[in-house]
Amino acid sequence: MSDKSKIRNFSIIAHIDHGKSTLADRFLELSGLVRREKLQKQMLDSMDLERERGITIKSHPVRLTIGDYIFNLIDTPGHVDFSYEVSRSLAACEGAVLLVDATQGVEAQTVAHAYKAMEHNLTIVPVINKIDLPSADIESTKSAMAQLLGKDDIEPVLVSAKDGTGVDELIQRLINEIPAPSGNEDGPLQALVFDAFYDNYKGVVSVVRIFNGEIKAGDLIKFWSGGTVSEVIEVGVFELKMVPVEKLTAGDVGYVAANIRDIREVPVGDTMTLASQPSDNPIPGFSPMKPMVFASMYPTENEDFERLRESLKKLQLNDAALTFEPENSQAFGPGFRCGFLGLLHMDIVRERLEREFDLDLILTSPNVEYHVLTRAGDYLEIRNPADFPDFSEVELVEEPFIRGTVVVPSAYLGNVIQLCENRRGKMVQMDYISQDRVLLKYDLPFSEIITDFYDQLKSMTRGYASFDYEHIGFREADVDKIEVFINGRKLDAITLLVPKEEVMRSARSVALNLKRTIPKQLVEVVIQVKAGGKIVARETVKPLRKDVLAKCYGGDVSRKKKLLEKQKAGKKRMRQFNQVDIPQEAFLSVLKADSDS
Amino acid sequence: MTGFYLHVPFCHERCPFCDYYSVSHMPPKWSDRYTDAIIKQLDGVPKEVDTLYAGGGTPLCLGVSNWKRLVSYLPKARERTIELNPEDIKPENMPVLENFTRLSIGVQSFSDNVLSVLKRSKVGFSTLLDLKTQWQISVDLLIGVPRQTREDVKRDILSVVALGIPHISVYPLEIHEGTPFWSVYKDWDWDDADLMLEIEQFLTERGYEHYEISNYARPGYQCLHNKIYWHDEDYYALGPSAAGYVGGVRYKWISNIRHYIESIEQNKEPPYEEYEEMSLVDQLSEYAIMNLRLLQEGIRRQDVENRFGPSAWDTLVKQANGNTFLSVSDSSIKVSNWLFFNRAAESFV
Repeated sequence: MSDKSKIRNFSIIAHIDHGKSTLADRFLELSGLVRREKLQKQMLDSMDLERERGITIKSHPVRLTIGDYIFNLIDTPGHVDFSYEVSRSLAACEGAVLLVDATQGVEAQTVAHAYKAMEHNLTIVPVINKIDLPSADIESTKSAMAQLLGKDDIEPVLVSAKDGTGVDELIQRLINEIPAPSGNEDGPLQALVFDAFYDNYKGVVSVVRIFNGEIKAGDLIKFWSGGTVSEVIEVGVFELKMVPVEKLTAGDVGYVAANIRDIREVPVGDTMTLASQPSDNPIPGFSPMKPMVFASMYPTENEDFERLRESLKKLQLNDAALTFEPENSQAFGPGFRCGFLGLLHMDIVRERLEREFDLDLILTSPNVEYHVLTRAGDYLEIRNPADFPDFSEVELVEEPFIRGTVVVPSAYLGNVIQLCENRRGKMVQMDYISQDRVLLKYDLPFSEIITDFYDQLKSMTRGYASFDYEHIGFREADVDKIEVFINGRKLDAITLLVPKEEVMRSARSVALNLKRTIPKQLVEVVIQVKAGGKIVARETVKPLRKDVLAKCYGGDVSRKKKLLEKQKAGKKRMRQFNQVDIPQEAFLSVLKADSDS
Repeated sequence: MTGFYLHVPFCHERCPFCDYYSVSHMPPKWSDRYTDAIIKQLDGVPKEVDTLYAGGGTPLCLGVSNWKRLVSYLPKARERTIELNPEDIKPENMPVLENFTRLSIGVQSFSDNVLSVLKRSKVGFSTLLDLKTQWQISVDLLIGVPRQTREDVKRDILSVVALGIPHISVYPLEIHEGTPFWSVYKDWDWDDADLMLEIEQFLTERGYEHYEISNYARPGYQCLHNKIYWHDEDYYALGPSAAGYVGGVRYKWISNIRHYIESIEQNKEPPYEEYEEMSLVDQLSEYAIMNLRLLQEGIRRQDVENRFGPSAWDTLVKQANGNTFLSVSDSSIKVSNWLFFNRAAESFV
């Protein structure tokens, strides 16, 4: 439907807080989709949580008409948990804006995302943002970007997304430099599905980039990977809302609603084609998104189990990355083993369940997946340490590794290297990207990242280090199992796998952290930690002898009532086990590897 | 019954453990202005109540001449209590005390080592004996004070009993954020429940009734004013930070002496720090929690039904169901173990 030569499909890739959303807001204004005074800050971040946290989680495309041109801006998420979605977005584009904050310079995510854009052979338009700030260092930002892109010299567009300086020039550069989409309107339909979401009225909506052919309502479509044939009900484009159009043709970015009710029937990354006239081959997609972090979720009250299941289902409608399957803990009864992309994703799911579905939950400490080869020759994928076989039966264990990118001022280089080495890292690259900033690449076990790695990195570099990672597959691991007993009964929901040489230290810190987080109870609480078949650490929580507000007179009534309310509310985030109330913090405390005493 | 509470927000020195609102070292003019303000505000308080209680702060910090001006404006009441600190007990204050029937004395302890931790002065035995001839006496004792031994506590209790003091309040020291004690004793975690039980046993064997969580009294000596709080009946209150409860409304005046006085001087009501028209559900909840503090009376069915209607009793019984810290009978709900009052009260929160 559109003149292909006047279409530009692009993403903005940037480190978090480098101004991506603000720049997107300027584009929205230029297109006339919103007026400045009406602009809600960060228009494209549609979930409340996204706006609160100031990050983009879901990618949203938006179609902007500026002058004669149509720009499809395909937004990318800003957090490493969702970096998988960056690849998806890039696959739908011909070009990318590489946006760097002149006051911060090239950061880890800039590097990671720029490499991804280069892997996708995208035309990269370098842009330096925040040039209006006094601390802007345009020259060194420019040279670091040139080095990153492997060029001797680049000519970045200098912009201030905040006040709009340079944005017109940037539009011109996008028109001149980013190639118009190629492809053939008349060929068989090839549409890359790069996102999908659930809409209450339209069912599952596939977000697509048409590479060849055209699609319109009434067409019968199918996916390359298989599945049933469905009839297209509506096609359209994204302005700020979904706007139906007659058809989408090669080069377009838009949506297809085909009366599909289950999001899992729309394989993101797959190619959509016509049932009657299928394309010869699919568009090279991307490997399906896989959960990398696993944790168990239990309602604090058993009777909420079904409600939790329903709520998880509803979340999954719009979050194909979330997986869950029922499991039965000896300690807590029925719950779900959930899979997440990363810790932020986990946090968001928990928060949404509590906020939007009013559930009180216990979430166990997260862990990675382990691959186990047993002596008997069985291959197991272990997502719950409690399921780990006896070590006498284990031939080989593998755990997932990541390649981490760290950009850090050279003054803190030593600290970062020490941290990475302590976390079983292997250095693969170290380069100065400017006089005083270093790019480090480390291969690290992912299990080390999902503890407090990021917090540690930030604190030992005073917040100056930036970090990004990508998964690089499984490598051999040498781990041992740590189990926790409360008053003699095994608390299977706290089971950890730790590197063998760390077992004693971890066991002690688990016991101590539990002692600190489990409040005094009516009975004495004995915490025992077992590893290698032996109890290796023990702590006790003395029994509570009294729980009484001694003073309560006329002036205190409201205040004392609030205290009682707080105390009662605290109980909601605890789970009873063997007559002991275990608070949520206890589960998370066990991951804090280093205890300070 | 109806009560009236007057908060006098002045102290000679702030005690390092206290978190009630008061100011010290104010120019004397402030107590004059405060007295004027209260006299003006007393217009809105009934002329007659059942109980009157002057607390603080340190009520006598207001000064003898201000008290002399103030008393004629105070509502008439059959029980009139004033709080005293040891240093207030001196001849020139006697004319003020003569307007009261009951003295609540902040003794805290008779042990020098404990008093030095608390930075408090001591009351002599003979002083208490003298005062006892003219007034109903109540003493406050603190337990769980750093460096206080169990023997210190037992001697304090024994002394009060030996002196024939008919009303004793025993409080474990609370360490409040924002007090000087917080920075030193933040992690103080005293939980000698056994000692609390020993005190209870000792006093009940000697004819004291453990009538409220922290209060013991000989028959006929329970504090009527405080019982208004625990019975959740109406009381008026004046003074910065003072809280009242009238006709289902809880209010608390602003905790700022300057703001308080200046408003009244400008013929305005001082601002409320809190003001809540309680729903019936909340009223019943607070009623239950407060009455539960009365260990012998508990929540009385008859009173609940008179006040909230017959279904309210069923509501409370239902809420109490399954709570092992409560004992429910046909006529009352009481705590079964007062050391776990909070667990008992949870049913009604």
